[in-house]
Amino acid sequence: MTGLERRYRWLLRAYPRAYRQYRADEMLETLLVTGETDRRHPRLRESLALVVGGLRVRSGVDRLGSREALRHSALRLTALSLLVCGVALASLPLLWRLWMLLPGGSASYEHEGSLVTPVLLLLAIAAAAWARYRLALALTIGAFGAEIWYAVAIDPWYLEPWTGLDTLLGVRTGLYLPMQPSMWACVMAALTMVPLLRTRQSGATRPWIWLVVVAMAITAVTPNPLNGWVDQLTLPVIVAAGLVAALVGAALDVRISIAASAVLLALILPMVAYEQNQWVLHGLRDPGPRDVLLGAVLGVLAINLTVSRLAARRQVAL
Amino acid sequence: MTKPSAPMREPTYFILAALQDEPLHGYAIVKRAQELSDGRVRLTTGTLYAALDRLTGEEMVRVAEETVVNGRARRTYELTERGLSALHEEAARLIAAARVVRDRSVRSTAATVRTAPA
Repeated sequence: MTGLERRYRWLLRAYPRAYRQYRADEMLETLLVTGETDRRHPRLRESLALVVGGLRVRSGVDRLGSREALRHSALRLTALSLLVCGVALASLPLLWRLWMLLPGGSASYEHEGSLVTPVLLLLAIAAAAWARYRLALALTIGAFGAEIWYAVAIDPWYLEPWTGLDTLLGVRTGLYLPMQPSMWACVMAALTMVPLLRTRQSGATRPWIWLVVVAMAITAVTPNPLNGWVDQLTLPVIVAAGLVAALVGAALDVRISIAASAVLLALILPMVAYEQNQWVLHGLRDPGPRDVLLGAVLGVLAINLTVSRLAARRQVAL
Repeated sequence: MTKPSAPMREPTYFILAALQDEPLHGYAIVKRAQELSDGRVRLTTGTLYAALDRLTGEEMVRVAEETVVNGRARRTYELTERGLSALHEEAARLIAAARVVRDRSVRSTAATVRTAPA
């Protein structure tokens, strides 16, 4: 076995084992005949095509077939990612409180959180994963209702300085809710599930499995209220994540790009709502670097979605 | 009214065009597609087999023969009736699209000749 053949065999490992058993020998034959005999290393273009091709087979892109199937799969993945994002964000205060109960934790921590919302969203994930979208939608709306109930029943901690609004419960709740990332995740997940109710079940339902893991990883590494999304340093991270999702995700599998955009939007919208509320409460002020960055992030996400739309055409018609 | 099919991408078009005359194996398809497109379409192996998988799934292409060469499997692919029909449909679409530009060029040339001073 030559060095070139060994390297090609290594690159072919990007494809799943079952696919390799059927196709690897044939592909290797073509690769070795196509490649120049005096070469020791595969060409970059060929290597990239093999890696991308392998990942596309692994992600089930080759089984999507039509734009309708791609749309169904993208909506399904987006809804699941948003629900995962919602559960993560809604459970953070609870997890943080548990962490504080451990020896050495501070008892003065003031974050509050309802247990009902994450539980309902977890049930919604299970329902959506089994393609029971009506039930998933009802549970998601229930989770949204639980958030409203919680905002009305419990005095939100970060409205304490706004003593002038104490008597205006409706306004206070109205200001509190848009600043909750989990609420945006609920709303966006519900909106994503509405078209799924009418869409015919696609044959390609299984390929989402590893993509949900990707979405969960994105949720874990994306800035959120617990790891300090109000800090200026986290905004460039969001921009970078958006760019990676737009450029890499759309080239590999457009569903990653669409789901990442939705999750990032669910995290960015509360920040925009926060800025708007500040303007309502303290009057208009000159836009600062933070506002510019927020605008830039929204722009990146808009580009991301546009690129994804263009890539969707390519994905089903290679 | 039947819904018109989506336009084919260039690599797909030339893969189908390469298989018009005779069944070919992977490397021969790459070479033939490059020749037919005057060197413009240079298929990578990853792209070729992804397209062949899809076209086989859509019943436009099928495996004609499986042999073993140098201890490795080699499959030869051929065009199906459906593939040939899709190829002709795409060619007709390209001709119609080209005609729009050509006819306009002819008309504008004729108009230029008429308005030019003697």
